Amino acid sequence: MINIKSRISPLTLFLLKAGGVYAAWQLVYDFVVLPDGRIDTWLSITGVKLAAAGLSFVGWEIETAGRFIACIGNRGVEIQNGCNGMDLLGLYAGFIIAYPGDLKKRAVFMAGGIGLLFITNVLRIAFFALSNLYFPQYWDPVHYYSSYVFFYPIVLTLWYLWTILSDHTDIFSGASLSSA
Amino acid sequence: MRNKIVQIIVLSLPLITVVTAQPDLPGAPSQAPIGGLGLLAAAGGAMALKKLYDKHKK
Repeated sequence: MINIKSRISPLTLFLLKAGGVYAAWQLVYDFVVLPDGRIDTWLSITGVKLAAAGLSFVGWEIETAGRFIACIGNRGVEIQNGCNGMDLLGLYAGFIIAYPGDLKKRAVFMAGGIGLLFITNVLRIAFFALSNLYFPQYWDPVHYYSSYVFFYPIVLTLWYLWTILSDHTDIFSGASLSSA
Repeated sequence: MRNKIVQIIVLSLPLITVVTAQPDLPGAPSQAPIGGLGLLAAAGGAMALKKLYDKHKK
């Protein structure tokens, strides 16, 4: 039986896997997850509830309604499907799946990272509610650069750690590659 | 019949001011999509390729 992995360099394999994973993710999201709506709704509403609970706990007066959160008397923020972090979670997981590494470590790294990014999105939602209270005139730059401040350092650090911790003595030896 | 139509039109005209004088809709809530995912994917891809290439050179 021909071992395809031993014939393809890990560079090519990474690109093929990354492309395949992202294509599969887009198809699953567009045709299953998005029409179903439950995961998106859960992510948005849970994010809003946790952000509201955190802000209320430390003393701010918060009102929520479904995907909507606001400091009482101020303009609110609506966490729609594109705002709940689902795309980012897919992108993060896609890299971890595509880059070669041990299967158990990969599962732990993926679950831990997804949890961390979800908590980060809760903090981001809380920050948006407060930004509409204290500096609403800067909504556009606050919103635009928030991803770069909140998410990207974490995602890039986690990806970098995964490339180090994926534990490959000889990444170009086909036999050393773990299944993905 | 024609008089009735004229009467309806004449009586309806002042109502236009009522229709056009409605208050504005309340401001829509702000929305916050996550931007720049393409840049992030490109950065991640470049990092992975460099790591794999460096390991290949060793």
